[in-house]
Amino acid sequence: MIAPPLPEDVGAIRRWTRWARENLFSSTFNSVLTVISIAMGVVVVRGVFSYIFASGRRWYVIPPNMKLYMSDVYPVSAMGRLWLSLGIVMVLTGLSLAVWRAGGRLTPARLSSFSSGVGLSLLFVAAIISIPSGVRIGIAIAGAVFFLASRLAKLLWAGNEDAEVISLMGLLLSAVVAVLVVVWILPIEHGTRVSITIQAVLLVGSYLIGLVVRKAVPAGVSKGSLVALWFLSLPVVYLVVQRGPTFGDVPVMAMVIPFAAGFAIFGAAYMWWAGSTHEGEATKVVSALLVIASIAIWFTSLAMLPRFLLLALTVFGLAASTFGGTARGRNGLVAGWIAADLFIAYFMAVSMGATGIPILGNYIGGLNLTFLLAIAGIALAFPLGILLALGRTSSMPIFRLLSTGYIEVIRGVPMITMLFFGTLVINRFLPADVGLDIVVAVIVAIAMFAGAYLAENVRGGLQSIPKGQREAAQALGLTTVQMTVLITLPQALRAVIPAIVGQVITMFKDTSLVSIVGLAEFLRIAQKVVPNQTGSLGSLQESLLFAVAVYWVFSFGTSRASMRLEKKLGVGER
Amino acid sequence: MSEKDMIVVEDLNKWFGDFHVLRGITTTIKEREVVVVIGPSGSGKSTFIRCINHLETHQAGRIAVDGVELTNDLRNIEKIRSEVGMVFQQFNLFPHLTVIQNLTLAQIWVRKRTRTEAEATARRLLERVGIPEQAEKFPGQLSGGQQQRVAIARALAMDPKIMLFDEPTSALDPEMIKEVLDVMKELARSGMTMIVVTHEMGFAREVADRVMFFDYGQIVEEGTPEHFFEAPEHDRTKLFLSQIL
Repeated sequence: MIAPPLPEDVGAIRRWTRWARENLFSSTFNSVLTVISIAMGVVVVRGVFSYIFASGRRWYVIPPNMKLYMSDVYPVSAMGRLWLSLGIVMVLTGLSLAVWRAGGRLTPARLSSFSSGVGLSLLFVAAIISIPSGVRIGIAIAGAVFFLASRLAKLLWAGNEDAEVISLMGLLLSAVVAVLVVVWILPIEHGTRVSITIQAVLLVGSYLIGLVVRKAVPAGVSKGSLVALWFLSLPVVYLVVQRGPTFGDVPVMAMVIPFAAGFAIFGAAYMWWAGSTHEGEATKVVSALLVIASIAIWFTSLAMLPRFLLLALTVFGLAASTFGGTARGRNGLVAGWIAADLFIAYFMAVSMGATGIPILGNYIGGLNLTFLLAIAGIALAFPLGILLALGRTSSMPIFRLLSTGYIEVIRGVPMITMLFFGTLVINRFLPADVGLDIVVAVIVAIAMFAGAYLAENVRGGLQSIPKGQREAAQALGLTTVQMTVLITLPQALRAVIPAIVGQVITMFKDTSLVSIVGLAEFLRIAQKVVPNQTGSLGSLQESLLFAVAVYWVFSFGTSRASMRLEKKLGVGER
Repeated sequence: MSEKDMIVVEDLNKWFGDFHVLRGITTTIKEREVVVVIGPSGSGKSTFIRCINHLETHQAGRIAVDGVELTNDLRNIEKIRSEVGMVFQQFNLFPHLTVIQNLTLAQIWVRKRTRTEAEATARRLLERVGIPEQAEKFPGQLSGGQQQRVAIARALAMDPKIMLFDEPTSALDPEMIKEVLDVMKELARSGMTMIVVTHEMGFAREVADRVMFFDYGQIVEEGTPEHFFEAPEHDRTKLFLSQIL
């Protein structure tokens, strides 16, 4: 039997006791289970926290080693490059937060329940763990402050708990201020302080700019450009961090410029033609010939640049019939082609020249490497996984066979094998004038591995789409490509967000495996490097606990962000 | 009804595996004609209209839509599909798009209209089917009857020459059937060529130019509604009518 709801004016104590009676002690058996669970919880929490805050912990060894944690032995003279790349990320983050209107739903009710939750947990921990009484009193005071703050918030906003009084702007500013206060209090180098302050200014500034952009530019345009910029930022950040903008021995005048210019002119003309003559038979013949040519060129001894440019032109040619047909579509194709041509030429010239020298002498390490691997790996795994999923569900037997074969082979191999494959084997498959450096090789290996798993998730989403959706799209006259891009894929991806986010979190943590091929990512620094420094000899436990906290913060953040995304897209509702 | 042949079907045959679902269908549908197809379930009436826009492939016989021969050539199929609107039993609206986006998508990508043109057409059609105020909602927020009216508007947005209706009211609650039928009646009076598979005999009596009775993959009997409902010739037709009326 369900008791009627209590009237509004009943006190908190009575509500709690009734809740406990209904949910914790509803029968003898449940009461026994409740008591046992609480006892176990107390033992576990007491054990864990007593370990973390045991006497003699040397937390002070963490801050002086921050440079190692973040970037390993990356040359101090080149730190500006790291800050520059972080600045790029900050600007894009600020713009994205504003354009996507992330957050912004913080209400006093949620703030207050969060604060009281933290406060009560701290009080609980302070009560049960065995630590020096000074620390205990400290934790207890902090808990009390949080709890009282939540009561205060309730009093202040009594009556309109669900109003959105705290804007994302306010939250962002207070977070930035908190970080800055911590930075200027902790004993760290003055240069670092200034750099972090600059980053904070970039974040807030670009957020403000993003607010203006959101009002001035149509949402589709601004979001599309931001996604493109995020993808573009990966190679840019990589180049900034790992290589100088030097053209080395690459024959720029003899090869890069002629090829880039030739492809730009002929490609633009081709796009103009294919984008306007929509129903012509000739465009199909030409794009078929291009497909054959772009495959055949890989069996020749031509340099990499024309190979990639031809491949890109083929993709554009195939897309022309879908996106062309109007003046706007045709102009977009031409402009898109020229941009792609220039970007490929620049990227190839800088990164894949005959002497692609890692000018910095040392590879980057630490948390920066972890992030570079995770973000670049995920970003590359996405298109790969989607293509594989489409291939596996395709009605064309060759595509289906190739995709299924790839997925099953990769999924049957441990990730560590893929990393060895990346560092030892990949270069043997590539022509002599290309040498992937170890970071790129590892990124490729991670993307190949994750792509296979992602493909299976996306396939699940594709198969969950009712047959009627495809029939409706076909009945309207959409082509197969349009149907896939506009109807099935968006629905499929939305359906599998939880699975994909789980995989992203796994990938982020799996980057710690790259230490096996000699890269000093974050966990290796925490486990091997920091505890062996003179100033922090033997601080293994503190260092690992710090690593745990860092991994947890980012994984948990990703998980929360995905929950927001699911809510926003209405997964399971529409 | 004019004298122009809109759909010509000759000796249409189709098998699902060993099951011979369409056995030599031959008929001609004129421009501005409204044909209602009735028959017991499994008689092949849905399969028949799905063959007309090639959602099902036929194995023998020929179909010509507005003079275009239906072959396996993809371009032919896409051309015919953009001239033939279809409304499904399960609505099949795109759930990730708003109502207005459902209506503009194919106009923009297939008809190559600008967004402004497409939205103007979409709003005019939502007005016509009586739900202009729902434009910004998602399909999941609408009632079944409203969804089916959006689906009709979505098909009309392509300016089709022919509309196919595959049991458009069978998935609806009784009180919503009328609003959909009203839209279809208005459409029939406006001179649209329509083929309607339905169990709504009242609709057939009121607006059909011709009623076609399907059984075991064949047209058993066809004729004007008066002839069909008042003086059916075949025993099979009489039996069917006695069971449903």
